[in-house]
Amino acid sequence: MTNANASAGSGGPYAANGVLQLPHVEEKYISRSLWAEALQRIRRDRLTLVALLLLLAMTLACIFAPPVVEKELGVSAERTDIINRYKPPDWKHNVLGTDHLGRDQFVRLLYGGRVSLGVAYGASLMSISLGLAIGMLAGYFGGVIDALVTWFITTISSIPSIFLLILVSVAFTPSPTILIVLLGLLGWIGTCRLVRGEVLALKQREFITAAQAIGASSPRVLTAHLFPNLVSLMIVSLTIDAGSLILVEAGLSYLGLGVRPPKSSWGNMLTSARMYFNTGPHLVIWPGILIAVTVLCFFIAGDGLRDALDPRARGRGRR
Amino acid sequence: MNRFIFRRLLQAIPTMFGITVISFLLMLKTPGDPVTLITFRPNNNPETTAILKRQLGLDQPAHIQYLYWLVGNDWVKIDVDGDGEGDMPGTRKGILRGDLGQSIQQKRPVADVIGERITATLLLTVPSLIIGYLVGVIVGLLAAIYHGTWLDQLARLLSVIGNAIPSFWLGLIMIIFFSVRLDWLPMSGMRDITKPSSEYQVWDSIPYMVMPVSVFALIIVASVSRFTRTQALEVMGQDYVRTAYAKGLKVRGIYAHHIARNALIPIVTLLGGSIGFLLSGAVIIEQVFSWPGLGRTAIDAVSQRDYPVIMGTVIMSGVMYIIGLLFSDILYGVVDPRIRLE
Repeated sequence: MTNANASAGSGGPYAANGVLQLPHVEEKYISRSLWAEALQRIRRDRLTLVALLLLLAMTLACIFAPPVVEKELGVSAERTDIINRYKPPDWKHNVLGTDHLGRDQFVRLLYGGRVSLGVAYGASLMSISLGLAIGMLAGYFGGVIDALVTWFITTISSIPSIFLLILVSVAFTPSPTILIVLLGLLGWIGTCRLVRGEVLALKQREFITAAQAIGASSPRVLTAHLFPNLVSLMIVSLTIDAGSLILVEAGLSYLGLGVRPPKSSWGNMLTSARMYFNTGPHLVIWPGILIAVTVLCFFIAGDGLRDALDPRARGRGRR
Repeated sequence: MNRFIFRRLLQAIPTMFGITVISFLLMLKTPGDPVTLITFRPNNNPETTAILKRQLGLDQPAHIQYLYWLVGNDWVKIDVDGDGEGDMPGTRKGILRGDLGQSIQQKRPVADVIGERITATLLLTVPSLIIGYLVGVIVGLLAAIYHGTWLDQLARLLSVIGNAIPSFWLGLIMIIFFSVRLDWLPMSGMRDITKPSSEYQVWDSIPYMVMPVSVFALIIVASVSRFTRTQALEVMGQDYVRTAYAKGLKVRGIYAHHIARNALIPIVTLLGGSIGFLLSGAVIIEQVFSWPGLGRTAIDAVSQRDYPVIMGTVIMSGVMYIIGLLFSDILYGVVDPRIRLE
């Protein structure tokens, strides 16, 4: 893919037809695709790299490590052990101590990570796809669709999010899957607004007019011309959204409205934190640190990806 | 100006309508039968249950229920005994006339419950808002002025941490440190409950306010300082700032009159939106510090399945949010005379 193709988002298939192909461009100028350039930028940005690797490590650990840890250390996330309650961390057996029922905290945090990260990934993917689809339709077609979408967005965002979540989680008792759907259904609004604005700006540009002029259908303009221009924006919002969703899920579960025990999530492990103030501060400290570090990684990664993917934003804001 | 306010109020109507529809539909979906919740007697005979249902209007289809809930049912006769004729006038006034219904648990009007608790929420949020914005603006301006120095880095660190750390966890850690370990500050509540409430003065709450207000303020500082910094940096690149330097004005004066004043205008728009954010944040912070405010009322109502109270808090928060946005729009025009409110 040539640079011109990638950044304008048009021409790819025409190039395949040989109609718009510019065969000698690549030989004359050193041209890299947007993605190659982005990759190079990320490779140079140490902080972003560290954040991304940490997220990857944490995700893999939560997916694969729990059974291994349970076997190796001889601990269990489910088995209660009343004699060994509130045990402080020790390096041999309970790496991060035990909770109020004598369950091992380390394993429970790993299992909790499955839920917390799973909800974050699932819900952010869902809200991004919804926001993208609705935002593109509203922005591109305008008129009644746009008016309806705008009204809906204004209304939903006029209820402070947590009250809306309270209402919703009363109506549907959430399991992790339901929670993903709920957060996804509520979270698309920000993305939708972003996409709508971007599409409104993009559709004035020449390459869209050109596509329309040669008779491209609306679905074609939307998928082949507008969508490629929104991908980098979406990757950035996906990352930042996932971070915020970790916080939202943690807050909800802390309030007892999210994931219910005995299934652990980083948020609901803090629900009865009041009981631990004297007996086991390690039970308050570790889930919070995990949440904070994960969210921080998502935010830093989002920031870095924005710098890498959006040439216009470069040099703006951060430095 | 008046025309602008009037038009904005008109625009708020469809939004409010949407809020009521959404919250009503969600409430219809909730599990649990209100009659069982109210009477709490599983072996009630079916006839009394049916009468109660008719009294409450639960025999009506959803859209009629919504109508009654919205505008009241004192203009229709309710058929209590089920013979098809109206027997007695309805008693509900509807939320449009300020009747948010009866709390199932507390057996008194929801409006009273909310009115009582909202002062506590304001006592928590207003000082946080003031402190948060003051500190945030100062930090943001300093970070922009000392752009690229350690001060800027510190401000950036502060805002990143403030955004990434879950507020409730920060509250918990503060309780462990300042209340449990050091025993400096009371860990929960809003006043000394061993004292009679007649002797209660607002300043008695100050030691109780320190921790929740600082957690709250930190979150606000985190976003406000970042926003201020970006705005100030943008203003500093403007031509009129360069002109001010060029004609030899005192640097201090340029900071105060040219940069700060212009950078602060957009911050006013943040203010309105932050009301909704504050109400949301209050839910969690109030829970952490057992602060008897609106948010805790909502959470308690959830665990007690007190639906009218939940609805009431949602509607109230929506109303306050819309008012906040309106307020910030008006303020925007006041601080920036260049903006014409049409």
